[in-house]
Amino acid sequence: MTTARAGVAPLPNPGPRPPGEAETLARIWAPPRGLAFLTVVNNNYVGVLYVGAAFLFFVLAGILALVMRAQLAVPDNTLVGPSLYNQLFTMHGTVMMFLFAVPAVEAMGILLLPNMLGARDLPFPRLSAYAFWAYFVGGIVFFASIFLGSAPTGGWFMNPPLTTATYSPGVNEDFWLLGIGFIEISAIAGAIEIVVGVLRTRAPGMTLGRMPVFAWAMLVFAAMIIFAFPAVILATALLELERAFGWPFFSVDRGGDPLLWQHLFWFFGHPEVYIIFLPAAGMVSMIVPTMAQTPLVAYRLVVLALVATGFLSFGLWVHHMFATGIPRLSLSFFEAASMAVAIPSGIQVFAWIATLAKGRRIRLTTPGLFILGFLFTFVLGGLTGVMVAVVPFDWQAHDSYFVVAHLHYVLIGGMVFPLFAAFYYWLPYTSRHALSERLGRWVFGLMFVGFHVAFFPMHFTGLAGMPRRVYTYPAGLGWEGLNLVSTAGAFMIAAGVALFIVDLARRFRFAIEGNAGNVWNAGTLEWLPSGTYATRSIPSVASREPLWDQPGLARDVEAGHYYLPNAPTGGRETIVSSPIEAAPQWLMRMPRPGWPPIVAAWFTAAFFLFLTVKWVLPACLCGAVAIGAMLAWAWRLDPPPLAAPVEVGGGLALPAYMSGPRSQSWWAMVVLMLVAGSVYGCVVFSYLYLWTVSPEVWPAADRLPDLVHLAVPAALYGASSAAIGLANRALGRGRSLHPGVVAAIVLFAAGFAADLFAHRALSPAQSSYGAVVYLVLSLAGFFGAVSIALALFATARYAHGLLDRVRRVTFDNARLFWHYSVGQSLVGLALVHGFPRLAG
Amino acid sequence: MRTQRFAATALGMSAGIIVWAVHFAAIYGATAVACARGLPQLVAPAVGWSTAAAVAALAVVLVRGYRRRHVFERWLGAALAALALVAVAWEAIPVLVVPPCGG
Repeated sequence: MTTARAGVAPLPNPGPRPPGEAETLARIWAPPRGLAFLTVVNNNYVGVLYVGAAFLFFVLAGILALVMRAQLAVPDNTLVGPSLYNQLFTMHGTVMMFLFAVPAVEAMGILLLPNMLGARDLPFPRLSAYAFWAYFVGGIVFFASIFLGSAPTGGWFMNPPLTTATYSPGVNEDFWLLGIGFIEISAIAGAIEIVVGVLRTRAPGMTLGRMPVFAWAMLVFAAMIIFAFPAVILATALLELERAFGWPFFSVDRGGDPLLWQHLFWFFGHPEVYIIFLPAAGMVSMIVPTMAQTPLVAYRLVVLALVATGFLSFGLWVHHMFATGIPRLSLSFFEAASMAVAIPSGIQVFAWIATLAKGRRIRLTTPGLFILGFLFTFVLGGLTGVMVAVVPFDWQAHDSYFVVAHLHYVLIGGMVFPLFAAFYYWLPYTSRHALSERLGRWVFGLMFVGFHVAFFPMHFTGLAGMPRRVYTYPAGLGWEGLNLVSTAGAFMIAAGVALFIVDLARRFRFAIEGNAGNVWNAGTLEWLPSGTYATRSIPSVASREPLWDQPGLARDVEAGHYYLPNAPTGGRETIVSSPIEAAPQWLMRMPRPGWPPIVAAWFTAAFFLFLTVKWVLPACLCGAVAIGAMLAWAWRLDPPPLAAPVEVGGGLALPAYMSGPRSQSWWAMVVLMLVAGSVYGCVVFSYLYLWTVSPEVWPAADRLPDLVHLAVPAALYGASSAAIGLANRALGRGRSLHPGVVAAIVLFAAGFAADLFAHRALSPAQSSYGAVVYLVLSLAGFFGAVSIALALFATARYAHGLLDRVRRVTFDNARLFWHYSVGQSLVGLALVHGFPRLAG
Repeated sequence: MRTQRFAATALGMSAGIIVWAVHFAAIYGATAVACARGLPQLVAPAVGWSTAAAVAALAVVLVRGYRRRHVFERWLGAALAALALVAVAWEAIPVLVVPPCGG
C-alpha cells in the first residue's frame, strides 16, 4: 500500500469529517420534485435522458429502415410508393446522423465526463439541459413530419438543384433545412460545454497526459463540431435563402453553382463521420484496458491518432464528389488524403489488439464481444473505404449499394457496436443492476450476425449494378436473392435490438448512490462511489488509472479525505483547474435548476418548426418567448463575488469568484467566437468559390462602389470598438459605463447604414454576386445586432447594480463579442471592396 | 496567465497539422483557380513551391518539438508534425503523375 502511494501527495483532509456534511451535499444537489423535475440540470439525470432520447431516435430510424427493407425484399413490390420511399430514406439517414449518432455520443460525454474527470458537474449544467430539450422536442416534431407526408425527400445530403424551389416546391425540404437548425444549435451548445468541461474541470493532478482517452476523444469531437457544423449551418441558410427569397447561390443561370452546396455540405459531412467515430473509438479505448485488466498500450500514440484524425478528416470532403467533374489532379489530392487518414485509424486498431494481447486473461463479457464485433466490422468497412477512395473504383461503385454497404460497415461497425459495448459497460454506473450477460450474448449474436447477413451481400448487389435510393427494381437482374437475404438480416438486427430493450426493461433501474458500481474492476474515476453531487470529495490523481494505482482511493474519496468534501459556499460548486497541468485555480459556484432554460429550449424548437411551415407570426412569438426566457436565465448568472477565498482542504484556499480570462464564461465566449469565425470562413470560401466559377457576374473594378464606401463604414466600425474599449476603461476606474456603450451603438449602427448604402444599386436576387454581397452585409447586421443586445444587457445589469468593476462577466462577454463582430465586418468590407479590385 | 500559456501550448502542439491544413488548402485552391482560369502551366510550380515551404516549416516544428519530447505536449506536437510530413509529401505526389486540369 505505501509503495503504491509513493509520489501521491498526503491526503488533503485526513481527519474525520463532521456529521451531516454528506447529507448537506445530497440536499444541495437533490433534483427538483414533482413537475419541477423537468427543470433538472444535473449531468447524471440530463445525461441519462439524453442517451435515452438518442436511443429512441435510433429505434425510430431503425423502424424506417425495416419498412424500406420490407419494400425491397421482393422485386416490383408495391408496399410503399416512390414518394413515401423518398421520405423514408431521407429521414432514415437524417435521423440516424443528426438525431441519433451525434446526440448519442454527446450524451455519453455529458453523462460520463464529469465523473471521469473528477468534477461535480459540467461547467454549464443549464446549457446541457437547454441543448437536450431543444433537441428532444424539436426532434420529435421533426420526426412526426413523416406521418403527414411532409418529410424531406432530397436524401440526407439534400443536393440542389433537386432541393431548390423549382424541383421541390412544398414544405418537405424546408422541414430539413430549418428542422435541423435546433440540432445544430444543441450540438454547438454541447460542444462548448465539453471543451470547457474537459479543459477546465479536471481533478487536481490530471494533466493532459493523464487524461482518460475518452476525454481526449470528446475534446477532439467538440473541436470538430466547432469547425465542421458551421459549414452545414451556412449551407442550410444559403439554400433556405434561395428557396424563400430567390438569392441565387445554387442557380447556374444567375451565376450560382450547385457544387457550392456539395462543397459546404461535405466539408461538414465528412468530418461528421469522424465526429461520430472518434468518441466511439474513445469508448473502446476505455473498455479494452478494463477487459484486458492492463493499461492501454501506446496511450500517447492513441491520443496522437485521435488528434490527427480530427484534423485530417477535414481534408477528405471532395472524395464524396469524385463523380462531379472536378479536375483529376484535384481529386488525386483528396484520394491521397483519404489514404493518409487510414494511418491514425490503423494506429488505434493495433493499439487495441496489442492491449488485448498483453492482457493476462481476457474476460469475454458482452461489452468485450461488441468490441470484437466492432474491430472485425470496422476493419472491413475501413478497407472498402480505401477501395472507394480510389477514383476509378469509385466511379464504378458511386451511388450503388456498394456505397450503402461501406457506409453501414463504418457507421454501424464503427459507432453502433462500440455504443452497445458502452451501454453494457457503463450501465452499472447509472443503474442498480448490470444487464444480463446471458441475454447480452444473444443480443450481440443477433445484431452481429444480422448485420453481416444484411450488409455483406450489399457489396455484391452494388457491384451487380443496383443503384441506391430506388424504391423498387424489376426481376431478372440478379438482385432478388441478395435483397431478400439483406432483408432477413435487417430483421435479425431488429430482433437483437428488441431483445436489448426487453433486457433494459427488466434490469435497468436508474440509480446513482445505489448503482451496481465497479463491476468490471475498471481503473478510471467514474467508477468511484458517487451521488448526485458526483464523488463525495474530489481526488488528486497521479496516473491514468488512479483506481488501479492508488489503492484505498475509493475509501478515502468516500470518507471525504480529498478536496472539497463539503459545500463551503452553501451551494453547488466545482473546482476549476488550469487547462494543461490541472492545478486548482478557483471554486466555481454553479447554478441550480430553473424554468428559464427549459422554456427557452421548448420555444427555440417551436420557433424553427413554425418557420418551417411558414407560420411567421407564431414563429416570431415563440422566438420572442425563447429570447425572453434566455434573458431571464442570463440575468441570474454571474453571482455576487465572495470576498474571502474558500478552504477546500490541504491548506488550499481558492477564490470563489472569477472574471476575465480564467473564468468559464470567457472560455465559452472564445469557443463561440471560434464557431462564428468558422461560419465566416465558410462565407469567404463561398464568395471566392462563386467568383471562381462565375467571374462574368462580378463587376469590373470601375463599376464597384467608390473606395469612400469602404473607408467610411470601416472607420465607424473601428470607432465603435474603440468606444467599447473606453467603456471598459471607465468600468475599471469606477466611472459610468453608459457614454461608451451609447457611443459604440450609434457608431456601429451608422457604420452598418453606410455599409448598406454603398450597395443600394445592387439586388441580392439578380446574380450570385449580389447574393453573396448581401450575405456579407446580412452577417455584419446580424452580428452587430447581437453585439448591441449583449451590450444593452450588460448596461441594464449595470443600471440595476448587478455589474461593477469586479462583478463584470456580462460586460466582458459583450466586449469580446463586440470586438469580434467589428473584426469580422472589417474582413467583409475588405473582401467585398478589395478582392474584385485585386483580382481585376 | 495560464490561459495565455494554454493558447501558446495548443498552437504549438497543433503547429505541424496546421501547416498541413494550409498546404492542403493551398494546393487545392491553386489548382482549382488555375484550372478555372485556363492556366494549367501554373499548377505544378504552385504545388511544388507550396510543398517545399510546408516541408521546411514542418522540419522546424519537428526538430523543435523532438528536442523537448519528454514533455507530453511537445511530444504530441512533434508526432503530429511527423504525421503531417507524411501526409504533405503523399498528397503532393499526384502532381508528378497526373496531368493538371484534365477531366
